[in-house]
Amino acid sequence: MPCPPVLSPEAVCAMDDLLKDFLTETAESMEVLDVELVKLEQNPNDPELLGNIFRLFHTIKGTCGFLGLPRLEAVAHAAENILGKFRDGAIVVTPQGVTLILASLDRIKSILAVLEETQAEPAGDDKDLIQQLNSFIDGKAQTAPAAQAASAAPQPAKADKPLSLYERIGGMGSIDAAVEVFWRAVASDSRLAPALKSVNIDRVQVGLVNYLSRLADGPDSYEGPDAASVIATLGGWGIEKPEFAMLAEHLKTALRQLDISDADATLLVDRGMALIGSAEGPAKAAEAVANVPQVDESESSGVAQDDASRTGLAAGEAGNKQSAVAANSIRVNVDLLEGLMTLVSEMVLVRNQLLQVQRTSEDSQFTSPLNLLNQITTELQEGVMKTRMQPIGNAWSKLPRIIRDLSVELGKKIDLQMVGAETELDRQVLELIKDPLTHMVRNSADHGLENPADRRAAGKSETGRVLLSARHEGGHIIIEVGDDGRGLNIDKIKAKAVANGLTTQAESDAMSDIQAAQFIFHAGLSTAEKVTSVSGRGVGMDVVRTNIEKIGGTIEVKSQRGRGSSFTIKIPLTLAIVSSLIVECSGERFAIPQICVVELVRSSQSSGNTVEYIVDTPVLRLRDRLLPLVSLHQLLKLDPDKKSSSEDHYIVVTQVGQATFGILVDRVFDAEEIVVKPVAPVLRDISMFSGNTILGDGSVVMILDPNGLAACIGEAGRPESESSTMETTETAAASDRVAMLVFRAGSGARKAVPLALVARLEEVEIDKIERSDGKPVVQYRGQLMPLITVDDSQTLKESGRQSVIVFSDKDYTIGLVVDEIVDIVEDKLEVELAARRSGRLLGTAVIAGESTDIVDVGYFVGQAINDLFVATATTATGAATTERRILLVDDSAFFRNVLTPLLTAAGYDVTTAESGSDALNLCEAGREFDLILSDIEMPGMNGFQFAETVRKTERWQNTPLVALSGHTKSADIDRGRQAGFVDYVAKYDREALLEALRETFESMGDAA
Amino acid sequence: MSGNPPTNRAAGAAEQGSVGQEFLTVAVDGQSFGIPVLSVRDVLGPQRLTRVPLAQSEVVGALNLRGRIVTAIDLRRRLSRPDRAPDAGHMSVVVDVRGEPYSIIVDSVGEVLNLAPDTFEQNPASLDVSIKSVSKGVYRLERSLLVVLDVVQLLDPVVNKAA
Repeated sequence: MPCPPVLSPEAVCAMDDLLKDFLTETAESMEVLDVELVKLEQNPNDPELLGNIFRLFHTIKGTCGFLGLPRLEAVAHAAENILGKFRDGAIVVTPQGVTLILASLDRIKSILAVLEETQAEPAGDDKDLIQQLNSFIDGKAQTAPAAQAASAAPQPAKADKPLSLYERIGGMGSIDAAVEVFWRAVASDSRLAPALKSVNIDRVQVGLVNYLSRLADGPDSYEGPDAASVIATLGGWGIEKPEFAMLAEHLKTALRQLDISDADATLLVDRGMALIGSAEGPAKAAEAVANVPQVDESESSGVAQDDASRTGLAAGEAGNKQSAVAANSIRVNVDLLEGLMTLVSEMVLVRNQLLQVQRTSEDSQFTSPLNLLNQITTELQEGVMKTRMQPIGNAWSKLPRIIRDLSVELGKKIDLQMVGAETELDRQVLELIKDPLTHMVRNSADHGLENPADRRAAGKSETGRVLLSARHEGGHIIIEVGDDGRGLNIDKIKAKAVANGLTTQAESDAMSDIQAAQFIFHAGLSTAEKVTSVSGRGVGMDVVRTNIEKIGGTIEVKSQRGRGSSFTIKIPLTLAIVSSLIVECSGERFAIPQICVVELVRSSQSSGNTVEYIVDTPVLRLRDRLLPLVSLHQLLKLDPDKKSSSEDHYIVVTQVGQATFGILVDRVFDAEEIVVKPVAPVLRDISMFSGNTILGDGSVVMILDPNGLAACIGEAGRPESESSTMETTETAAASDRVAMLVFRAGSGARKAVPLALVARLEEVEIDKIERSDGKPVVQYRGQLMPLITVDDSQTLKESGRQSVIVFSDKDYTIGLVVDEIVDIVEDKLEVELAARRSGRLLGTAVIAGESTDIVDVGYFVGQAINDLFVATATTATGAATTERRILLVDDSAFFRNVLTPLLTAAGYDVTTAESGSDALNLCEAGREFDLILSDIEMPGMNGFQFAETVRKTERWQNTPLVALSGHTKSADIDRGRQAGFVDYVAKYDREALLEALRETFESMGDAA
Repeated sequence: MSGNPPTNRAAGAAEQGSVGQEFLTVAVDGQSFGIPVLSVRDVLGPQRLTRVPLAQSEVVGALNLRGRIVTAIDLRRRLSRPDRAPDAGHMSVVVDVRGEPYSIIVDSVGEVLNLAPDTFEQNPASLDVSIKSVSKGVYRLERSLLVVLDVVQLLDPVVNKAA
């Protein structure tokens, strides 16, 4: 495993993916470079071409450095040096120079090939090549390019064998030169020239060089197309078998011109011809191979046959290998796929309309073609959907590593079993469930499983099991996360729920275990003490639930004391097409996603189910429980004139998370598969609708968002909760709201910290608290954790257990001593009194109707550790908890993938753009960012141009710009400053990058 | 899907005053307005509209235009004119703003006029603000005056509010 020192352990887990991305991306660059370099030789004075080549090499170098691939980096670096001189005009572009660069390119390719197979760079060094490159710069370039390139061949001659054909003819350099001569001859041959008019000569030459190298038993790392594809290509140009002989003649002549012995030249050419013969058809293959010994003049027939078959085999392998990366997979912009998806969706809708017409008309003339169209459309739809599907295993890839780390850290033996990793789901859904899943698996291992001693005592095997499984079930994906640990402590959860006023004692007594377990998803329930003392789940099960519900999924928990607990997540396969129930209310139709619909109830005077009213609130008696009802009519302020006068209603019993409520509608139609389209921007602030769609009859209907409905009826919709104190009907955008952990500590008002900063909540036993340098510390997960108090008036408890809020960065952990955890409240955070008390508080805000001090976590961390780790989220007053929004502009998907998690982990809210113009589109779309981080070397609009353009926009002119670049020469930095960048950071220096961001934001904070 | 409507729009907006500007004339509450032809995607007769509950009053609904969902804005309401009589017919002109199709509902659609720049004038200073804010200027026609609608501005409060 190539493990770069600069990456955190978590990043290493993702290495496989990173490496894969790197390989794909670099393979693409290689292809471009091959072509561009040859072009450069022809147009040595084209600065744009040179710039592009330089940029590509530079990217490769930088990426290798980032990934810890020293050989590649060294070669790319040496080549880049020459290119730099070319670019600066210090050295004139010469064929020798280009040959050297090409040789480095080949070396890089050969290393990449090994890298792809073994995930590690091959052993060895490239001193020979690098020396040549460097001496070229020093003006000591040798005159014979062929000789240079030959000695640059990566593998030394094998001493114990007579020289191979490859070595005899002079290696890559000779082949290169021979091809050059050969091609010139071919191009001037009137019989062949017409066929080659439209051929990309550069490409062919490279291919031919590779091909010949392989034929001559050259180093295995030279890969070329196999014979069959060569013939196919030639055939495509109109060169058929008779012409092959001519080509062979030219090649032989070319080889001879380079002082290669007749015998060797003939051998090489005949091998090629034999292979071509063998590839023509399976029937002829045996014959062709059999022929080889006859044309072989210099080697024994046995060896030759061996050679030929080996060559053939190797060529085949090479073909396969290539197809693995390049030929069989292409990278397509997601936008393109989304576009296709939209078109297909529309086609489905038209098909539905046609089918509806057909059903009502007598004319059967269209029946058969329509059925065909129906079938084709369905297949097309499935095909396009498949392009978006990815195995869920992609979201699991990091888990084994996380579990391994946890088991070491916690001293537990954990066996992670993953079943159904191949289950596919829509990539959009996949992205959204990744984090919740990781969180849950971590929780299961951390809190669900007991330590080995406890397990032994309970009569279980020492190794705890965490089971993760995924499967398809009726258009949904069912994901289960289970453990065989201690299970949830239902009694404690009930007690906690009662203590928090979520339920009453009487109710909780009557409650089943399953019902009680649902409390752990409750945002209002302080998850605080559960983490340790109630054996519960960590902070954020409510967040997990929210995230899953956001994509139309559901989550349930089952738990058995002493036997473990399991979570079942049900999510739709795709977000684009959902099965929906079409209902009507006051003459308008709406769609309700089926996944939320539990049952349909018809209420009428005659039937037993009657809608009753408590004052004006409708309710329904359903199986001895009162079901709260919402009237769509009232909620959506529909036309009162059209209200159905009949007393008959349909009630759509809907479940959103743990909230169950009935939606009162006039009529219920069929269920239909609908294609969700986003609503027009003008309507996006209406939280009642999650989208709109076109039904089979061509009419537009709005899709109701059950979450929006549930939010409207507030907590009252939750059957477990009779209290309405938490109720909020405000439909402010979720992003404006911040989850705050409210607690009491020391004197004065309640205090709060943003929940996002809290690593966990612990209770430590007073006995375990030690003194270090007079300050209280506690051993925590193998580290000493300093315990700090909010102010001096606060004292630790005398005995029992002390509640502690743990804040953690990767290196530091501190515990803030609190008297009592009060609640977790999601509210708009507006710091009103920015009065600072020796820096401990950010200010005072009204949270859940009570004035609350907002604690400055950064201060305490800084105090506890004489290092200003200054939590990224603790910033200027007021904005303390909003994440800094960063726009990352980089053309390399690789870097976007690397930097996004890095920055996100550092607490920033990251948006990416592929190019300057993409970024400017975001500007036009009205997006705001706190900082823009831009690459300099980008195709099209480069970083400098981008910065200059940004400075001219009205919206972003004051947004600080930080440049991200591989080279930090002072000239570049000056240019950057002129263009409007406030800072200039080396792209591959992770720490410097974070530091620069921190500084920029700090200086912004000072200015504000 | 959204194609490149900004180009069209920009063209429509930038060419003001140049030779041979073409406008589609529409009428609302007795006044003629001109919409730059280049920004027009479709002209439709009365369509089946789906009401969008809770939306701003000028958003009168959504309609299906060949598989795209188009938001319908009533120009009368947008310009704070009285609603048209229930039995009065109407037409709608579909335009693209920032990639989103909008249908502007008008009383009637006239013809396409090619107007010479020398008949163009800036907005009269006294023009009512509700009109002025969406007008780019006025063309003097032989018998009437044609107010040039600024489509982006027209949908701007709507669009901006969403942004």
